[in-house]
Amino acid sequence: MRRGGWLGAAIVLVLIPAVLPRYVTATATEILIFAIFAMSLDLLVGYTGLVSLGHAAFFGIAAYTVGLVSLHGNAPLVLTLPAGIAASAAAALLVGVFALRATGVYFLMLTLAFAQMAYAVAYQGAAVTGGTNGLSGIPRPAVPGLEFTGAIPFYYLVLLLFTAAALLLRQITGSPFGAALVGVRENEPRMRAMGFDTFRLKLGVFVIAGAAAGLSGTLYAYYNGFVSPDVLYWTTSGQVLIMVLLGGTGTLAGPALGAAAVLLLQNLVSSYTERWTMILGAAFIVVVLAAPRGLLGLLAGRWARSS
Amino acid sequence: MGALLVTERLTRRFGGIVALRGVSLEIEAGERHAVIGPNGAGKTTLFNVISGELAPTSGRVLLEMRPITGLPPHRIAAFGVARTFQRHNLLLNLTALENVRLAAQARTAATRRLLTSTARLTHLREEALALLARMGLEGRDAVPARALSHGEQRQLEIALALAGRPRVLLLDEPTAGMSPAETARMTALLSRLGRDQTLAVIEHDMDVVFALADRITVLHLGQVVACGAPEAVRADARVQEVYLGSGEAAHA
Repeated sequence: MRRGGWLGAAIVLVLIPAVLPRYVTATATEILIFAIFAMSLDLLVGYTGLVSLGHAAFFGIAAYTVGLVSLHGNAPLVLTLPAGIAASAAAALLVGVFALRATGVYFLMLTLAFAQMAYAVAYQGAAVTGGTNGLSGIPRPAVPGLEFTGAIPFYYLVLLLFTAAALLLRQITGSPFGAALVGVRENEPRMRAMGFDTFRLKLGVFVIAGAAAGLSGTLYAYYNGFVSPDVLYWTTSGQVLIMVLLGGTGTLAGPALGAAAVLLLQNLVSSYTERWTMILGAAFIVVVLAAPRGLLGLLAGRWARSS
Repeated sequence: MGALLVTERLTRRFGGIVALRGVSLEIEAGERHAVIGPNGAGKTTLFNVISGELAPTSGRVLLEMRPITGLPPHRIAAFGVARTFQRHNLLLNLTALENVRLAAQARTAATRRLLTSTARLTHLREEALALLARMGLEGRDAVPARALSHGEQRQLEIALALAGRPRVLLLDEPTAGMSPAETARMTALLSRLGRDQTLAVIEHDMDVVFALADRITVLHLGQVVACGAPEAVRADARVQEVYLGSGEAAHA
């Protein structure tokens, strides 16, 4: 049943551009980009028990990196992609060394503070970052011999990278390293007593999560064609945290589903009313109260009952 | 060849209170050593000093003649001194198998492997299953630690400690709060551990002490009152005085 579900999802994702109208392909592209972002945060929130409210920092830093590199000529994807990921991973290493000294709500506040600092730099450093105007005119990426200018080729590029990221993160969470992360979530002092260096474990996963957020930020810069300080603002961190919680923490597939739910709701409802955030809020409350394991928990429950 | 674990004139003061007063004892490799005494005798303080949770005010702890006094607990654990506490401390939402497998993994470099599936590390799984069986938890591997009975949780705690392959295992009241049936089971499991596992046990239940111990050290008000074979300790006039004098004769 589970295998069937995965196969079905893969077929739908591959067929979307061929079957559905163009604007759906664009929405699906955005969903896949945010799904990577949400899965990367789930490594921290769901697997390790580190609730971060500053994950937008690593999304935004990669987006700005791509924006800046692209300003000076159309750099190929083989250059911008590693550059965006490396910039975010380096930032995560720096932030993690400080923020991971704290735990619980203090960790949350420190991640928020670092992200807001990044926002302030982007907002005020107009000479480099363009200030409130941001950086515009980022061309769609190309690799030598291939261009992803059209919406459909770009969708397949994103789908390919989403699949690669999902498989890689799945492999990591299923590894002994991933098992140790869950141990940290469950009882960090006990893990330390067993002989695990829990600080290094947390720093490791923080850098991996930052790098994966960097991948999504890189793609987002290309998707949007411009970058503004909003990508670094705390509401972006809040939105991705809602995606994780709504979809179901500690599952990877759940946060991807959460990203789809939030963005579909946003796209559908915002065409009828401007108060879509109110509707999102209400949906969030209902899911948290009625399905504490998130949307994926609901689906898994249905599967379990039907099979 | 000296003893495996030696304490030399350990003294520990808490303000004006002297919890340990020049405690010297020797635990031989393969020995099962019980530490008994009335409440407040300093038994847990002694374990805390040996395992590094507390630094002694004076005196030394030697493991295989090497001083380990004052090292942090995880270093002492790495040298091969493991301990359990009066209250269990488990990863309650994980299964019994996952608990022990993580403890076994801690000893290896497997944690650095990000791209290997845990399922492929069969040696860790087999080692964990063997440890569960050794502590009487066969068939309980898939049960979350939270759902185990009190007695089983204590057994799991000892399985976790054994996963680190300790030279000496310090058990602080392994049968505390157990029913008579659970106590008998724990006693049988501990005596089946084998002679290659050196044990030091704090215990109040005299049936357990006499069933397990090769030698007994009696502490009273932070001092060693007697140390020797069970029969000699039982016959010791000062030991009888300690227990009678403190009103715990019935307990003994």
